[in-house]
Amino acid sequence: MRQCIFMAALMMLSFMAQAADRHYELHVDGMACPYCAYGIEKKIKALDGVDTSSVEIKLNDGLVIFEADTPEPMDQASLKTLINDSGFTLRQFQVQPINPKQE
Amino acid sequence: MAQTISGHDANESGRGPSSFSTKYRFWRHDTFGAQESAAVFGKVIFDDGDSGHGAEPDGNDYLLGLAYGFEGRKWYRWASVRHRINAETTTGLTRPGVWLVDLVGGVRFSPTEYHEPDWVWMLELNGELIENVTQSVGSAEKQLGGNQWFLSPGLMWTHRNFALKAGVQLLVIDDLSAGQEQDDYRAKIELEWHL
Repeated sequence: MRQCIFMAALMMLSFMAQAADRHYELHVDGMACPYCAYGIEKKIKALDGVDTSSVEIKLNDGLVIFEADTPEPMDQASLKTLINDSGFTLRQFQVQPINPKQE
Repeated sequence: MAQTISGHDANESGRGPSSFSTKYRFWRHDTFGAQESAAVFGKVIFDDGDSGHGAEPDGNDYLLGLAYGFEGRKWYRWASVRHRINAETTTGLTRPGVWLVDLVGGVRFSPTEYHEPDWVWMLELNGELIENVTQSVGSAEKQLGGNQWFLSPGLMWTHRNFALKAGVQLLVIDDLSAGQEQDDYRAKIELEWHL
């Protein structure tokens, strides 16, 4: 009995650990300096469902990367607006499921 | 927050006036790792600075300007032209307007990543073109106007959302009308915190 409860608890924890179900990769033009790019980090982290610890900016590659768990995938148009409001241009957008079996 | 210190001699340094400024970027062109832009600029300079540079303003001064900038992962360049409209002195004398011209080149020797401290080294050529004005005090007349040009090395150090900008202006060309005070050097430090 104890083993069953333990296994059930482990399975629940495992499910909760898979909160972020999509991986987003944004190719952004105009990111020349870290101080300028901070605005993107701030706006991305404010989005519902975003795993704030996953937000990453790679200046030398022109990339903004993050993971999020939302009912529907974030659409390119809304992310383009967010990047533009931050003062930059979204050039390319990629989204991939983190756990393909859940799709 | 900015502090400006001007050097005339050991007895004439002091705190400059506080100010409020705004900028509107009306054009932008983004490419991979670089951004070009143009903006208009407005500023109000309040009459709360230390005295000791002659006539004290009786009211606020205003600054309007146009700027162009290119920022890349390695190279920077800026150019701007601004016009300063000065209030009269507390004794009713005219303070001449000033045209300010700035040409800036900068370099980031090591393109660091987002969470690393970032260093941009800059060299500026700053011109101050002062309108010719005659001030009459009783029977005496004082001629104001002329040009000053400064060579200004500086540094912009940032770490994520915190910036420190420091620089010194060194007078290299002085063509002011006789009797006017000139600045040997100016040093400035600015701290910015992007909330």
